[in-house]
Amino acid sequence: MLPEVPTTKDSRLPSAAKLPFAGSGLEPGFPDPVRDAQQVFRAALTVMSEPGKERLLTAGRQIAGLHGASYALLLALADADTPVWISPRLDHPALRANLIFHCNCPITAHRPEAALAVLDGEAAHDTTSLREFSVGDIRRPDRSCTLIVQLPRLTGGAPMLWRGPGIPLEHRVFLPLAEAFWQAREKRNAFPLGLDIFFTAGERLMGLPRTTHTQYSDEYAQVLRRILHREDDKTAHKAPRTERRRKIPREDA
Amino acid sequence: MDTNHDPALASSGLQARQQWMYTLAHADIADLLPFETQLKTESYQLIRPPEIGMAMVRGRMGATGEPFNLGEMTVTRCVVQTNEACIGYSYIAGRDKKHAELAALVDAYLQGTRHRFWMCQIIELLDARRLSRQAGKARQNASTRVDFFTLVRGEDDVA
Repeated sequence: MLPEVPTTKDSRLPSAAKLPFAGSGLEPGFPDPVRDAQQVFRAALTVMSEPGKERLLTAGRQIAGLHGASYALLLALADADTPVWISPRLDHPALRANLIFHCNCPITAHRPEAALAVLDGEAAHDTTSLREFSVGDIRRPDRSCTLIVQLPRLTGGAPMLWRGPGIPLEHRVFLPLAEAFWQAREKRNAFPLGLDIFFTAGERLMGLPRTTHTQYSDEYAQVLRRILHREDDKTAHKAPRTERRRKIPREDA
Repeated sequence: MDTNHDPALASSGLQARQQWMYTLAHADIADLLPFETQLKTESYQLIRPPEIGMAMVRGRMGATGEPFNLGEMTVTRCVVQTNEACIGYSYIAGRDKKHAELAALVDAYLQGTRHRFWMCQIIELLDARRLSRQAGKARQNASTRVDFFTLVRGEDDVA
């Protein structure tokens, strides 16, 4: 008995468009799945344990509007147990198809149930949206949502000082984010509850765990002062580096 | 043969695809290898490079009982994309990565514009080989067949 295979009847030929997954924009995941996933995971750990430090993630490619670093993070972190929320501006059928294919992760439109959330700069400033992501509960603070905030770049914003575990003294970062974002983060952070955040731009990655204390530095004012009073600045310049840096928190307080 | 007779599936072309994927999965790698150069003349992309994994095989006692885990088997899977943007899938029992890759390629090309060509070239041949293999096996088994006769003892008829 020969099996019924549609070899002669053209009417029964399946067209490519009708078949599932055809033309869905699938792309390869990591070039070397095991090693790349491990390296991205290591980089994610590093930037979270040393907030403000940058790492390059070159393993991920850009998918629709999602940058390489954001995609690499998702490939390494997302799986069937992590519902992913994607902000509307980054949401794209090709991205969904690839995430479902490579990570098998559920994609949710419901913010409180998201374990990972991908936000663009605009979504990161939507304070009502930030209020809905889970910060975990007191028994399981680890069940909080991890945000991946994709920015055009990791520099160019107002200077901020980050302090806390993993930072020897303080770290200056210049993330292009408005005050609304920092206030919203502050409101959600009640240790041990809180939001852990990855910032990505292109292939760059930076981490901000819930334990890091952030505040605006008055560096702009200092720069201006230096330009106006060069004489004063000369003495300040000769002072030991650590001492000069320590001044900043006192002036802030 | 494992064919799905759902009319909705048949009309969508899914049943036809199930059929050729079945053929490819059951093919002997030795029958597929001669087509390797032909399949790889055009460039293609490995969406999911061939990878070996485990799958739990479950069964039901008498096909109706509670499902139980029979045991794990190795499965090799692969997904490729051709220049025509057709995506071919394969799931192959065992650990043969080459088999998985070639089967995925054939699946992709069968969804493309040269469907007829590949159907005649590969699938018909593989089907014929498989059926002759099955027939040969059946003949071999039949030659060693033993019929057991039991005399009627009449116990069943006694009320």
